[in-house]
Amino acid sequence: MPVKGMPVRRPQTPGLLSTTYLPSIFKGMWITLRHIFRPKVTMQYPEEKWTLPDNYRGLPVLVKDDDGRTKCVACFLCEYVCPPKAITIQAREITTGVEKGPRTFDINMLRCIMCGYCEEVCPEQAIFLSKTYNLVGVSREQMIFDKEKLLEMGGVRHDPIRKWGRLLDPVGAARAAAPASEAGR
Amino acid sequence: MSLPVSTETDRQIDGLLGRFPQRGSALLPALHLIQAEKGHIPLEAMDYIAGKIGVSPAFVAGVVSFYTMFQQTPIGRHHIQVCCTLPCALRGAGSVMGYLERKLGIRRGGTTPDGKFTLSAVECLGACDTAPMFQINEEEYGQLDERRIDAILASLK
Amino acid sequence: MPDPTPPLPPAGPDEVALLIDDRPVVVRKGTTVLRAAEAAGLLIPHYCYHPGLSIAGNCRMCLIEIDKVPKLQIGCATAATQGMVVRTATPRVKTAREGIMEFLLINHPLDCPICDQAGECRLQQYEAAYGAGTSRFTDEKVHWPKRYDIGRSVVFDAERCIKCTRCIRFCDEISKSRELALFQRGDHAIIGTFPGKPLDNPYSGNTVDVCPVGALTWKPFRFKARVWFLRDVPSACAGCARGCNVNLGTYRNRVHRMTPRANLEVNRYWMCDAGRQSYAALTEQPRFERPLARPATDASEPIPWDEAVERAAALLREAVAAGADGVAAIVSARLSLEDLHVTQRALQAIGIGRVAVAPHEEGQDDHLLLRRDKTPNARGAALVGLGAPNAGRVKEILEDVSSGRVRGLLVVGEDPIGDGLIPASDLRRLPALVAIDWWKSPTVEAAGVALPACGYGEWEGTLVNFEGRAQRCRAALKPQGETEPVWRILAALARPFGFGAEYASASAVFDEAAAGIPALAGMSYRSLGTGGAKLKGA
Repeated sequence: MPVKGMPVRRPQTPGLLSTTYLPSIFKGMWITLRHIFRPKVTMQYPEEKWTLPDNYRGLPVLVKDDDGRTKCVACFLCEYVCPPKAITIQAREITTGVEKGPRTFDINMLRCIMCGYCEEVCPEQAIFLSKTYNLVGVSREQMIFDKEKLLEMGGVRHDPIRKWGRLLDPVGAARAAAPASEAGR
Repeated sequence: MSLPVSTETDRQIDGLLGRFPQRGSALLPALHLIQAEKGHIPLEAMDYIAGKIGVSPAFVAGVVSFYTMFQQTPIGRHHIQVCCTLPCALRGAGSVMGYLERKLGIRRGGTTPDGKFTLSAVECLGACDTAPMFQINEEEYGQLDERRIDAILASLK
Repeated sequence: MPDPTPPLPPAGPDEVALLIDDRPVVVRKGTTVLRAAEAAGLLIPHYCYHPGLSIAGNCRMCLIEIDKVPKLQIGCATAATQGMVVRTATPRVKTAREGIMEFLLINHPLDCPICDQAGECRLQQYEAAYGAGTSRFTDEKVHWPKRYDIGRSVVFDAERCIKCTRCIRFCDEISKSRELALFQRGDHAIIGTFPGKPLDNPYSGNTVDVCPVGALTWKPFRFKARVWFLRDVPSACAGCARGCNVNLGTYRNRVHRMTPRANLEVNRYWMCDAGRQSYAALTEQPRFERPLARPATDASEPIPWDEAVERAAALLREAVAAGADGVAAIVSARLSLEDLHVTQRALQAIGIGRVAVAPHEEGQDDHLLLRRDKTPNARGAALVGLGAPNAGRVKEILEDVSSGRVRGLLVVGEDPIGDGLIPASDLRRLPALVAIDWWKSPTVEAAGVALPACGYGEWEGTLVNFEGRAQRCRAALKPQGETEPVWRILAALARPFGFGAEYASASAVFDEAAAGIPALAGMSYRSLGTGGAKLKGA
């Protein structure tokens, strides 16, 4: 079946003045002239730096608690939720306090899209998006940040809730290690 | 192989085994016999009785731990069980317990260093009419006050 | 006016008909309501009930409402009766479940981030499905020992335990080792062992499987991978002649755990600890990824496949030309039926008539699963015509190797040096030694040409267990390096000798074998499915 078209209304043929382009040229020059007398808005980066808002989403980093303990317990939720699969974790058993921690914790910053899902999903408040936005490196390998680097970038973050407090204090830890048949006596 | 219990107790336990349609039923009376002999039920005795009855040692240990009246560790010769349930509590079980703790120099649950007394808090012993009361081993003592407690303890060897 | 209820279907003499949530069901007499609901396609949530164990009825999660019965009943221990009307989702039932969940979680440590069970935990699943979702408990929780070594391979966390006693019942009824018991009582109750008698039996791993929460965890799997990453590949264990049905839990091209897969005719719900850890060999034993050749006296070097096959064929051709009884082959009954079938055909094409299948025996058959025969496919070897495993014939061949009567030897999946059957120097002297194996065994290192094969978990194939049940093993991993399945290697090796068959896949090999072997008649990968099938006449 032949397709029936619809008639298209073309604009009127431009007038004599428009074909000289003079109105448009003056209009453009007027805009330029106006801006000459306005204050300058260009930021002189890197001498001058942006003041970032608190909810800015920069590179993700790992943090330690007030006692200097790596807060991450390698639960793998961030690895699971990470949309571009930038996070790779290997867990290990640790002998004191909390049983589990990361052996390796790598974030491929070339893949990271700073979406903040890792921060949101973290049950331990161990990973945060920092305000770091300048990511520099000369090879792909350099852009994979390991646990040490991420912890150094994150530093210590105060947390009033000591979730694992009982396991970390010596008395609680000793009780937690008692044999089952002895416990409760 | 030496038995963890006396031959007399062993013989009595053998006698028990035939009295129940299921051997397992003999466990509680057998444990009572062992505790009567030893004062408590040592691990070796649990292992021994498990082999005898045909249950696992873990099961026997579980039964022993279930009943608070079975002792798993050695206790004093005289086991003072102070009733702390409501009628006794209203009639002054708290001060009886406090007096005993001060007098013997131990906390409830503890044993005196000479191994003479063990003090523990228990639930109702069914002698509310003489509250406050305690039971020392199999013997009941009611209407306690400090003078009477002194006299009772002094009479015990 | 009550709602009109659907009519009950007719029931046979040993059957009862009942209604569960208005669904009519007919079940055998004596079936519990929980099982009847399963038959009707309804899940009644439960912790302590396990189909392979006795009924304890202590978790109270399976409470259901039965018309004309005043109180809620536990579905796991209530027998279905004729005309019974069961409701599993009334407000009363829902409130009861919420209450049970609240009680179970009151003292739960909520340490899911460090718990291996997270992701397959009944507490998580049921709280999401039936719980109130919030906690009203604001006091300090009761604390218990955590990370307690309750046995050789099992770690116990008493805070996570809900005292369902499944593990105790497993040790009492299935493994019969009876190490576990419930200690104390009431809210002090705790699972424990007798001092000095830890949880240490050949089946201890099953206590971890039956544990509905994270109280018992398997040491070798501890913190290796989160379960939601694992892809469970249905397969069969190759640790002994039982062939327990298993799932290979794989993640990032690595098997992280092996768990039993229910098959009531083979292993029911269980598997042994040795089988459970058998996947570890693949990463623990040294592999070789490219064919190796030993020119004259030098150490073996990697060479390309084409060249390796050519050189191996040349070695065997020379040996066969010197006299057919001067060449022999030792074949493993740990290979799949497909491997053995092609091996048998290839040996004929090459002209090797003297073949022995090596036996591996250890321990004794036990009351549950473990078999003395550690070869998973001895029946398969006999089936394809290679003969049953025979230590005497292996010994004869190796004696003839030592005395120099045998000048050419093809070893497929066996390691006579490592098994201590022959000194390495005797095999090294052999003019033609071709070895095919998945790991770098001493025999591989002594071989003139060694061809790398896929290991367990990498190959696809069929095993025939001691009862004559053919079961499929599925490939869970990509083959490491340039390794190939044994059937493909042998087909290539025999091609210069006029072996014409080409196979696209293991499935095609099986189809050929099934066409030629009466006991396999009519079988295919599709018909074997995940549960396997008995041989004709077995």
